[in-house]
Amino acid sequence: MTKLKNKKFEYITFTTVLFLVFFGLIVLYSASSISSSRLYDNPIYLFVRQSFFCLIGVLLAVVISFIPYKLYSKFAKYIFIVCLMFVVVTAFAGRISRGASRWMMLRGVIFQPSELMKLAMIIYLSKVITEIKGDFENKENLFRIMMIAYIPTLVVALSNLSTGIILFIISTSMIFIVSKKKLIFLFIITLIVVAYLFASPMANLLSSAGLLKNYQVGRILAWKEPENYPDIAYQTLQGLYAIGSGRISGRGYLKSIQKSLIPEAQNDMIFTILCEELGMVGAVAFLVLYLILIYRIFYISFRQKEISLMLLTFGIGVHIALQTILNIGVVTNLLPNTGVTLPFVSYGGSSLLVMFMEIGIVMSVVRYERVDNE
Amino acid sequence: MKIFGKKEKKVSGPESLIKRRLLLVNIIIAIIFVLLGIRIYYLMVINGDYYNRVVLSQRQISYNSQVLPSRRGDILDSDGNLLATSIKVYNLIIDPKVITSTKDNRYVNATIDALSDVYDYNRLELRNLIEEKSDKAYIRYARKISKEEKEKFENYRDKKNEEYKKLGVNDRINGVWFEEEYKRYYPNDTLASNVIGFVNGDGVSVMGLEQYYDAELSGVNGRKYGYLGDNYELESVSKKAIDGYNIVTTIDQRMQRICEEKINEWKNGEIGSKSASALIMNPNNGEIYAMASTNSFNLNDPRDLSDLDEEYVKEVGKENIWFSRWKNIPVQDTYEPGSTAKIVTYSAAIDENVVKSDEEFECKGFIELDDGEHKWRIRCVNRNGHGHLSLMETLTKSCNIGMAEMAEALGANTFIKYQKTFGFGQFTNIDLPNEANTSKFVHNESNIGRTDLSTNSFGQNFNCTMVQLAAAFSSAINGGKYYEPHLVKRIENQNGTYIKQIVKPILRKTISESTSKYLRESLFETVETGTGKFAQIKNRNIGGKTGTAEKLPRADKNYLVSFIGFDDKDSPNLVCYVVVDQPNLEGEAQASATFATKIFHDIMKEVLSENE
Repeated sequence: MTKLKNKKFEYITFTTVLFLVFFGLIVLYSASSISSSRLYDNPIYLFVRQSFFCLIGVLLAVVISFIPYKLYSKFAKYIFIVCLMFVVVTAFAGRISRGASRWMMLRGVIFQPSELMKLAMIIYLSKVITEIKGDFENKENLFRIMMIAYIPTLVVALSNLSTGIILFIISTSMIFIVSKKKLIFLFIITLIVVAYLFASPMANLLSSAGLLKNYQVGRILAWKEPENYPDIAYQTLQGLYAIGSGRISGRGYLKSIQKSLIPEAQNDMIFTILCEELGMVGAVAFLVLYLILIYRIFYISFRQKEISLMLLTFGIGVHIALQTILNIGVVTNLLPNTGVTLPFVSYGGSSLLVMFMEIGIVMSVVRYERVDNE
Repeated sequence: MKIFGKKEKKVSGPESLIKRRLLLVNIIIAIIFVLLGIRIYYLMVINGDYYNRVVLSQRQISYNSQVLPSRRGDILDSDGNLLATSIKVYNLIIDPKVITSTKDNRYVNATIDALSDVYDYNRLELRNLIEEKSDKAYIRYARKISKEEKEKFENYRDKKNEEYKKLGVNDRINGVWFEEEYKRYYPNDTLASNVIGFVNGDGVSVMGLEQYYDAELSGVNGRKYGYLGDNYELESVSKKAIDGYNIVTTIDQRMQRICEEKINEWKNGEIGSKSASALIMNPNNGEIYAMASTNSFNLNDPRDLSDLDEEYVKEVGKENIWFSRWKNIPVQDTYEPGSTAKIVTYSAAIDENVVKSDEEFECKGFIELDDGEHKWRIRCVNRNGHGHLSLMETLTKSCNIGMAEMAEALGANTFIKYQKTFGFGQFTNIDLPNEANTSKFVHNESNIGRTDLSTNSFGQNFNCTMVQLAAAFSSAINGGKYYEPHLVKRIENQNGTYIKQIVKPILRKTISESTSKYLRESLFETVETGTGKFAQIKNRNIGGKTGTAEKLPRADKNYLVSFIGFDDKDSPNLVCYVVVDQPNLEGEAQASATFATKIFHDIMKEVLSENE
């Protein structure tokens, strides 16, 4: 059995991402114009910034794709520990300064360490799971995995619930695919489905038991009946109006009415403007691009011979899928409002760059893929 | 089942657990994507038209056109002090549609509590209103709230909502907002009320300068509205409100105050009268400095009748009382002037040279007129006759017989010509509304009989207004120049820039310079030695003429007494006219011009004391 380097450039992933980035920027140009004008007195300010981030991101992905993954996977533990430290520091600093607890300043650049935490956890977890050979019967192994998978999740969840949930689902699904256990996962999924379906009665029950505060119950009720809570659900409601009013073919590019009513339309709510302007046709086109990207990554994962690489690419695929699902789920009000960005389209540097790094890693995995020569 | 292959790090085969689980995750994700697709289809295709309508109607609500109120101009006195001004106030708007918009009614109690806590409004009433009109979005619940009161509510609301939030309670104060408006405010309450007039709550001006200069004072309201621009971007356009102009009046606040004080002192004094009025004007340009009557009212509350007995109000009727209070007597009331009008006959006779300065008159107490068939007598003031009189004495002693003789000598046509020249029977065109029309109350060449001519000559049998007589008198003493009496000298915009300067030119010549000079001498003598002695002021060469007229119907024996005079016989700068209507005495006891003369004296003394 000889090992041959694949040396393939992963065109499908790369091209799909370029399409998403390109069309995403076109949508962002329209969606960000109001915020740009209001905040910076320059309607293309945010667009130019985002274009710059995208350019950096694409270059970053290409550069990473040429670096053998094995070269830095050795340092997975240290990357993980450094990220965890950042997360802890920002969580506590954030506690003290009350507010911007998700952000930290690094050399004058505002950075969100929890975004990087996702990638660091995927890398480290895939390494450790491989090391313990999937043996969760051993208590020591189990404890180690639990620590790696859920300590960062808890720390992040303290200040940013949605990122905590994303970390939880990514790590749990990574454990899930190698674990022999069934019941525990079935239990978790059942719990999630039940909680989802019976959110309002449960919220009322918990609040009468004194376990939930009124405003938390209000949020859940506002999610279920947004039209009855127009102030709490303002953003959701305006987003729904935007999506719905796009109908099949959309109002037309640059013709959004709702973007002046939706605050920060270029961030988490960008999909609503996309729907309003480009209609069902545009929305489906974007969904198709995401599906191509996600399933291409899953396919790459599926064909890996090495468990660590399989887990790594699987984790990345789950991450991108999850962000997409959560974002669209929130704006269509299938899920309660949490701040999740839409991959490659929403405005924002940290999450965008991390996503590009992940794409770079996937491309690198393909480039240095071992091909069995039988 | 094997998960890890031989080399422990390799996937064992396509059927291994890890691959099956991976596929399972893929399927779950695929299902979720299908659900998302269905949701999007549901929102965009099935409900798309509904959402589109919401978006369009929302745009209309948030960009509904809105009135930007214009500010009514100020009314200023001659020194630039405010007589009437506009202050910004707020209307409290309740929006029941918003208040009842949630299922848990989170706004209802909090908002009702807030309104009753801050403004003491009745909770039950508010609740009923909000429930009954829950489909309405605009109810003007309170009008003309001050800025302080508005801010009181806003601060309360913000603080309370913050508290609710902290407590984790859903309740919020919402659906109450304030609409800007201007309220007319009169800083001096009653001062010159009958001249200034007022503006009703609904913005309609009533009486006075407010009404006469309404076009200049009112501005044009602006409007703010939104529209969908070229790029379907919402744009808001506002047409700015154009504020009204300020008017600068000729009113001298000090003189106005003195006049009001003196006539009210008289009215509330020992004798008193039905009413009393006074006006001061500049004879040399027609500017009116003061115009007062005892029926003044509070401009800030013109309909307040709380000082009156309820029974009385019911009996007379609110409207009648209001109009009698709001009336500007010197412009709107007509009466027989009496002897003050003798200056017309006197100066006409001198001007026309029908009498000579050394001419002598004999008064037996009456003259006899006959038309060939009947004979009748016209009586003099002095029933026993004045006896032997010089020309000047006919005026200083106010001899009716002398006047009648002069009118005879002038002839009816010439007499009427002078009456007209002095402005009787015509509008003075003073810049105030509702000036009385006296054209029917004077005679003309074709209907004047001999008796009419005689009685007219001493101020009876025709009616005039105070302003008419004051303007005529002014021209008679200023060298014969008739100026239109007026109250506004300048119109400016709200930055104080002149828009229009109002100067009234000489309208016509009434008598010659020399006649006027002789008249001043005669009026001075009247005060020095004649009927007007009570008008004397130390070190001042006051001139003037008394007047007593029996009101119609004569049988009632009611009198109107007056005095008109000026400050200096050589160069008159002020003319003051006082009319006392029906002193509170029985019959002929009323007929004493002294009442008016004394008021004139008091006014002029105080006015001049500070002019020094």
